[in-house]
Amino acid sequence: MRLSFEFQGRVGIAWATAACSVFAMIFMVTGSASSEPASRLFLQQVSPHGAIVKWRGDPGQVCYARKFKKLSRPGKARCVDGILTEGNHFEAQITGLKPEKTYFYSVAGQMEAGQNFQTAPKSKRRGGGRGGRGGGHGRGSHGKSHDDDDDDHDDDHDDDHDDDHGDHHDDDDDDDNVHMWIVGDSGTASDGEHPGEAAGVRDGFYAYNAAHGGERLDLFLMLGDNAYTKGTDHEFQAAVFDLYRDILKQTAVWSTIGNHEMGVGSLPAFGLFDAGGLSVSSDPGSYSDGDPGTPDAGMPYLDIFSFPTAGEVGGVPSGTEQYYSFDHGAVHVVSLDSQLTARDPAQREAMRTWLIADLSSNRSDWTVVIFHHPTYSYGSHNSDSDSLLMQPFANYLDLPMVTLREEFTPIFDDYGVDVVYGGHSHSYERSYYLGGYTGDAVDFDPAVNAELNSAGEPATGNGPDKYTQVTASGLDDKTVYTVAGNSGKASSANPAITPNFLQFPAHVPQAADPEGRRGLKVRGSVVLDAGEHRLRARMIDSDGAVLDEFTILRSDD
Amino acid sequence: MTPRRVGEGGGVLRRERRGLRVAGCVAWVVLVAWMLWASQAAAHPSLEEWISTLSARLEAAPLDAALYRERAVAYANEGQSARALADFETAAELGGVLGVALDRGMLLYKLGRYDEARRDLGLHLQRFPRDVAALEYRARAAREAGDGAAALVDFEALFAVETNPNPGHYLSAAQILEEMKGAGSGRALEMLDAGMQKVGPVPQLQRRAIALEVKSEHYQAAIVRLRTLENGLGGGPDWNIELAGLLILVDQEAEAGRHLAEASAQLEGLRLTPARKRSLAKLEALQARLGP
Repeated sequence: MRLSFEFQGRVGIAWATAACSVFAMIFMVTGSASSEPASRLFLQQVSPHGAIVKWRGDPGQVCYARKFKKLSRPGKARCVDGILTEGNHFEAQITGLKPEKTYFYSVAGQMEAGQNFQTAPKSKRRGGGRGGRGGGHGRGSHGKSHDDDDDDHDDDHDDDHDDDHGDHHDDDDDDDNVHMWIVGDSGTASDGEHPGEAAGVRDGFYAYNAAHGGERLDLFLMLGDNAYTKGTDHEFQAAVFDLYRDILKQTAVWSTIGNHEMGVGSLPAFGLFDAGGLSVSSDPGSYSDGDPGTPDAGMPYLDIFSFPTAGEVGGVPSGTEQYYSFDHGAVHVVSLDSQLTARDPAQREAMRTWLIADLSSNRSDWTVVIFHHPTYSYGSHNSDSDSLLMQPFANYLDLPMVTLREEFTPIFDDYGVDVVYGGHSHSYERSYYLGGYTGDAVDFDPAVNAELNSAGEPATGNGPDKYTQVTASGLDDKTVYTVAGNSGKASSANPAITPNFLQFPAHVPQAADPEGRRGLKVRGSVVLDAGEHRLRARMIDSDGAVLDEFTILRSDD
Repeated sequence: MTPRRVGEGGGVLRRERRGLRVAGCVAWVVLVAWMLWASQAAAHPSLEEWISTLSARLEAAPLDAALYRERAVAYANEGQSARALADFETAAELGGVLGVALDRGMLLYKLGRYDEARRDLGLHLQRFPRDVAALEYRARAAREAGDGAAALVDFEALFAVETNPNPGHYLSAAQILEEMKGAGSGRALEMLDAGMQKVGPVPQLQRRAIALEVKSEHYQAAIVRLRTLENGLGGGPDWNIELAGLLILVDQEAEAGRHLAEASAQLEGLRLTPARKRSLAKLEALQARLGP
C-alpha cells in the first residue's frame, strides 16, 4: 500500500507542509529566478510514461526528478518548457517516465509543498495477444521510458537518500489497488449559497482517507457541475482550483460535462439573474456567460482541461475532448458527454459508435463510466420519461437522462461495464445490480432487471449479497448505477418534480436514511477502490463516515 | 405611445410630472431591490421559476424586447413552443427580427419547420457569418429539408471555422453525400477522410468509411482502413474477427486463419459478456467457412 502524507488528515498535512516549506524555501532561494506561485496548478493525463502539468501564472519550465533535492541542483532535474494554451494556461508535457514512480516537480521556478505525482501502473489487460494501445505518452519519438533506457538521469541507483522531508514514498511498492475519489455537482464553492459545504465534503474524504491508511489518490473524477452556476473560468477558480488545490497538484483530475458547464446558453442574464445550467444546445460554441460586457471566448471547461482525444492514455481515440476514455492499471474509465453530444442525434450516434469500439477493445479488469445526467433518479431531477415530456412542463434540459438510458445502458450491459456514476440530482442513490433495464421506474421488474440473492430478492451488494462480475446468467451483463450529485449540496424534495423523492424502485434502500428511503439526502462523495480481486464503492459523508457501500468480486477470467 | 416634446404643458403638468418621477423613482428602487433579492433567491431557478421571474419583470417593463426573447427561450426549453413563438414575435416587433433570429431559428428547427428555421438562421448568419451554432443548425435544417447541397455548404463553412469539430458533424455531412444523387460513396469517403485529417483516425468515422467500402465491394480498401484502427483498438478480438472476415472475402484465408486464432486466444482469456458471446459465435462461423 502506498502512503502519502497528503491524505493522512489535516495533522499530517500541516506537519508535512511545515517540513516541506523549509525545503521549498531553500529551493526557491537557491533555485531558479523567483516568480509568483501559480494561481492554479493541476495534473492531466498522468499515464505510465508521462503527465501533463498545467498552470496559470508566470511562464517557465516544469522541472522534475525522482528525488526532491535534485530539483535544486543545476543539471540534475529534467525540464520541459511550458507552452501557452487556451484560457491563458501554461502546459508542459512530460514524457519518458517510469510506471508507478513518484516524481517531484517545480513550476516556473516554484515548488510548493506536496508538488509530486505518481505515474500510473502499466495497463493490465486480459486476453493476451498483441495490442497497440495502453501505453500512454510512451509512443512516438518522445515515448522512450526509463524502462527502455536507463540513462544517467535514472534515479533508481542514486546514492542521495535525500527525500527525507516528509515526502516518503515506497517507490517500488506495487499495490494493485486503484484508489479513486468521485465528486458530483461539487461546484457550490462559487455559488455564494452553500458556503463551506463542498469543503466539508472534501474534508470528510480527507478524514476517511486518513483513517483508512492514507492511501495516495490515483484518480480524481468529477461528474460535472464542477463550478456553479455558469462554469465560468472565475467560478472554476473558486470551486475547483482553490478548493482542491492540494489534490490537484498530486493527482490527475478527469471530468465529464454538466449542464452548469454550459453557461446560460443563449439567455443573457443582465448580471442580475442567474440562469446558469439551462442550456439545451449541443454546440460548445454557443457557450455564453451571460455577461454582455465580456465576449465569450469559448467554453471554459474545454479551455481548462486537456483530455485525451487520440488514445494518449490508453483508451480508443475519440477525436474530441467532450468524450474520451483512458486506462489506469486494471481500470478502464470512460467519460461520456450527456450535456452536449447527447442532444444531437448525429453526434450521439457517433458517440455510440465510439463507445462500442472502445468497450469492445477494452480488456481491463474493471470498467467505470461517468456522465452527468443519471439514467435512474428520483432526486432533485426525475428520470421518468413521462415526467420529462409531459406538457405543459416538458423538461428538455433533462432529456439526456432518457436518451442515455435507452441508447447507452444496453451497451453497458453488452460490454461488461461494472459501475456507472452520474450527478445532476443532488442526493445519493445507488442501484441494484441492473441489466436489460431501459424503462421508467414503473417498468422495473426485479426478477428481470436485477441480480437476485438466494432468497429471490434483489441483491444489495453487501455481505452474502456481494456481486460478481459474471452473474447468474453466466455472463458479465450487469451494472451498478450510482447518482452522486451530492458533493456540493443536498437538495430537498420538490414534489412538483419528483413526487416519490428518493424512492426509485431500482435503488437500494439506505439504512442511513431516517425514513429508510432508497437514497440519501446527505452531502458526500464516493471512494472507489478497484483491486485485483474486488471493486469496492463507499459513500463518504462530510464527517468521513461510510453511509453506503457495495462490492463487486472479479470473476476469474 | 406618442412621445411628448419637451416644453409641452403648464405648471400643473410639470408638478404632475415631478410627482410621477418621484413615484417612478420609488418604483424603480423597489424593483431593483426585488430583483436583487430574486437573484439571490433564484440562483438555481427551475425553468418554471425562471419564467415566472421573467413574467414579473415584463409586467414592470412591457416594452423590453430582450425580456421577451429571454422568456421565449425559456418557454422553448420547457417545450411550450406556442408561447415561445408568441414571445419571439413580440420581441421581434419591439426590437427587430435580428435579435431573435438565432434562437427562433433553433426552435423552428426543433419543431420541424425547417424552411422557416433556415430563413431565421440565414438572417443571423448575414450579420455573423462565422457563428458556429447558426451554421450547425442551418446545416441540420437544410439536411432535414432535403436540401443536401445547402447543408453541405454550411457544414463546410462550419468545418472551416471550428477548431475542434465534433466527429458527429462529419458523419452527418458524409451521410448527406451518401444520399445525394450523383455524389455516391466516393465523396462521402472524401468527407470522412477530411474529418479524420482534422480529428485523427477515430472509429466513429473510419467504421462508417469501412462500411461504405464494403458496400461498394472494395474489400481491400476496407482492409487498409481497418488496419489503421489496429493501434487505436488495441488489436482486440473484435478487430481480429472483423479483419478475418474481410480477408476471407479477398481469399487471404491463411492470414484470416491467423487472426481468428488470435481472436480465439484472446477471447479465451476474457470473461464472457453478451458482446463477446456474439463475437465467439461470429468467430466460429468464420472458422467454419475456412474449414479444417
